[in-house]
Amino acid sequence: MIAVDITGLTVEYGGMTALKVDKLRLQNGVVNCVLGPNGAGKSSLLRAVAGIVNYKGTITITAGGTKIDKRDIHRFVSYVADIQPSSIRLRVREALLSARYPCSPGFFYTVKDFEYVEKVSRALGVTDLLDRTLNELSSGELQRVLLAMALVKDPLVVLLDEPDTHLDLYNKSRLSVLVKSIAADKLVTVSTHDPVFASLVCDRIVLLDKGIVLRDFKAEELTEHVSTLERVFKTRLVATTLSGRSMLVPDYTTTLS
Amino acid sequence: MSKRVQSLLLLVFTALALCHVTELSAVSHASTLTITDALGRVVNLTRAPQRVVSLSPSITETLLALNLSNVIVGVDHYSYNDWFMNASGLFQSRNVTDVGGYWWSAISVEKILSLQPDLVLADAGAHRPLLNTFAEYNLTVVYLKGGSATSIEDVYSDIYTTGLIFNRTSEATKLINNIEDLLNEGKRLLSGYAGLSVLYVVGIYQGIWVAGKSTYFNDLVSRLGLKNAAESYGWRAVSIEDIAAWRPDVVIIASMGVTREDVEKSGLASLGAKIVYLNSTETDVLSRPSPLVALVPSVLYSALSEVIPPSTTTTTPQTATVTYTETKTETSTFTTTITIEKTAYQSSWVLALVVLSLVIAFAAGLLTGRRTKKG
Amino acid sequence: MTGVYNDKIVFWRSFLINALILITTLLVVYLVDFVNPAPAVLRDYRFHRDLYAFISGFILGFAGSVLQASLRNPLVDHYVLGVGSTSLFAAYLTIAVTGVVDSTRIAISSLAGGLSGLLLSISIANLLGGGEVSYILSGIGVASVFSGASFLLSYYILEKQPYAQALLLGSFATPSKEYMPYLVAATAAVILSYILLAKRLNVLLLGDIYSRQLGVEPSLTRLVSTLIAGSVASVVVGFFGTIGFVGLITPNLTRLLTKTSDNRVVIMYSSVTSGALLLATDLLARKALVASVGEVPAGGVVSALGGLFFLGLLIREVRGSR
Repeated sequence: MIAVDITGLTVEYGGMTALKVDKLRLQNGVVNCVLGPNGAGKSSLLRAVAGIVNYKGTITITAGGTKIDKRDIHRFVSYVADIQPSSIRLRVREALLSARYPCSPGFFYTVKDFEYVEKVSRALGVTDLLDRTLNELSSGELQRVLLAMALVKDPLVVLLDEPDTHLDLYNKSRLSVLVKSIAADKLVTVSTHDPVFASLVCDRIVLLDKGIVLRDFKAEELTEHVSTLERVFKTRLVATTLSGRSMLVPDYTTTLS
Repeated sequence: MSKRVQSLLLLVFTALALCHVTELSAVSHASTLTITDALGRVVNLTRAPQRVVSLSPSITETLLALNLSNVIVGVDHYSYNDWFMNASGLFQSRNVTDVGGYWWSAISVEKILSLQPDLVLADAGAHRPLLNTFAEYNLTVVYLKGGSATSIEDVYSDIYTTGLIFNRTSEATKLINNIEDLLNEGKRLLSGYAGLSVLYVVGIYQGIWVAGKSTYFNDLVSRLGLKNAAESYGWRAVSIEDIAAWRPDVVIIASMGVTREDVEKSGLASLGAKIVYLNSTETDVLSRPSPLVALVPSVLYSALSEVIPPSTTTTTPQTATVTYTETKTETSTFTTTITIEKTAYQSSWVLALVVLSLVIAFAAGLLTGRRTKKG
Repeated sequence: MTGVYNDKIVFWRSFLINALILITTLLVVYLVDFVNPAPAVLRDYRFHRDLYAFISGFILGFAGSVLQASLRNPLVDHYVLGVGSTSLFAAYLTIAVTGVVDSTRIAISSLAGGLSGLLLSISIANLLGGGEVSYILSGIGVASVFSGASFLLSYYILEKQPYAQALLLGSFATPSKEYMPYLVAATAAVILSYILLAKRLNVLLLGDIYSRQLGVEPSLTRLVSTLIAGSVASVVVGFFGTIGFVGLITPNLTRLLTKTSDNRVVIMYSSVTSGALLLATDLLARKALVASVGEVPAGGVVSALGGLFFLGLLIREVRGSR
């Protein structure tokens, strides 16, 4: 069992509080979702868990009962966000190998390094992309590569920051399938501003708005929170079911004040 | 006079005499010759050098004039092609090596090293940057004043030093006296131009470069009865306004690449002065601090007579000649350039400006570096 | 392309090739300079000059590739970032103030100057937005200011200390033996840094967020890398003058030919080939050009060629083959 316990978390940027969470627990086995409009504090939450942003409070990560040391976060927690393009063209293979750094910081790459790269590339279907450069990939291909980079070090926690942006429908479904398959043994948390994606992909939804947790519910309970969601997203949302799951469809034809 | 005063006077005179003796820069102790060169360095020579590299044409010409051509194994590029005493023909037939230059940055140290010379003669004005390299790779080098000469005396002292090194002091003295005689004759020759104000221009690009005061040209010209129009010091660039204020009678152009158009564009043509263009041989004569200075009067005469007929005045009897005798002591002090208030002022302004800009740059760097990136 | 990808092959192959380049260079040097009998001082001079030329190239190649990796910018090297001009300026300032030309003083002052210049260019570049072109604009701006200042200062210095002129032109024609300990120390620093930094720089190439997430603190790594690269490049510039573009060409060429951005490979190739290149240029200048033109500063030749290459690279980048 992998769990993330958050207590008394505050994240501040330039004097402004971006996020305040009193108590939150995330677990593996389900797809966790952090849902909210832009500026709600989703990235801050994920980044705090990943340890790449300064915060006040306590975030404890436990795996099978043992607490993970702060210094080992890089090894066990993966954070996936948009990658900044660089003119120094990096090939997919090199990016994947570099993502193994927490496991092998030595001068040479080990046999295990490229075994993992091999394995994960096959699992995510990126083997034919290995020799391509990151700059020339389509958004769907890039997303898969970023996911591969996250998985190649065999982490315990995978945090995906708005992975569904830039993706077309096909790739969204592909992503959804992948995310669900990972969630079994790893602690997966996805952030998104799309309630449709959240409702179809995630099992547990944490609703954020203006840096505060408004609601925390299971996907089955979605319909109970429609009005709150409509208020937060300022859009009319219509509940419906799809493949036995309740989902929300935004009504773009009207606006809510 | 009391005995006490007498003995005191004796003491004082002895002391003075001793000082006089130590002023000698070249002291022969048994077989070692000690030279204090133009950079103030003390060089010991155990015997007359047999393999010599000369790094400037004026030095080469002095060597040739002292009949020392057989010790020369390497010369600079200009010397290699020199016309003086058929130098180029001589060097080619003797397989003398061209070591590049004459400016220091074009000298091939490697070529000099491969010649294994026992002496290198260099010019204090042009070859100073090579001093460290010469020292580190065990090359014995003596610097002569050369282009940094401020008077004819300096040129003579270079000739004399060269004579000392090769144990040819009597030839050196004779040569110096010959030059003196020719210069005195030259003064008589140029008596028709006495008091004429001349400006010696050596370059037109990036300012008009002239021979100012404290150059040996200045000394030479005044000794010949003419006047150097330039009021500036050293070899430096001046503006056309300055030149106009000096009101030269004749402007002598001693630079091979300068055309009449260039001269017109620079404004020199509209000063009301006569312009004379020297050919390359004449330019060499007027710009080399070597035995060639003896030819300066005739070159000047032919140049000036092109544009101004000599005024027929009764020739004035010349002033007493100065003869160089062997007992004249070689002053060991290297005459430093005259400290000019104006120059020092300008230099410190440059320094201040530069320091200020550095400080501003630092401050700017610190201030802009304050921006921190988040996340 | 499936199949087991053996990274070790890539690394050791490049190691082998570089060893070959080194051996070839040594052979050429031996044939040109040492096979014929020559007086001991001449051999001494040639030895120092050849060694210095190679080491300078080695160091500048390292500096260029490290700067490119840490700033994620293929268009920079020490010269473009203004390290050259500021080092020189600082060396000149020291000479102007103290009136002494001394290896220790030159090394220290050019170090201080070069690092300040680097700090300044990077700060201004961040102010301009931090994009790639901002670094070049900023660097060249800084370089121009201090080049001009150095030039002005040189007039003042030449009255006091003509030897300083040697620095302005910068060449290997006056290889002072006093430089040896500094250059050896710099080379040792380069090799050590390569071993410790190469993989971290690979991670840094992924961007700040990914880098931090993988345990490589971006600002710290960048600071250390630029400090080391700036320092060793400054020392070379202080002794031998501004030699630009050497560190710019070789990393780009390496990435192009080996089709990898793995810094363990790129830095190695870059250092060794830059050393060989600079040595070759100096040998050429010394043997071939001296007869006709005189001593040509090695930096001049490389800058001319490098400048052309740089323009080509710039055009390709701006055209957007991203």
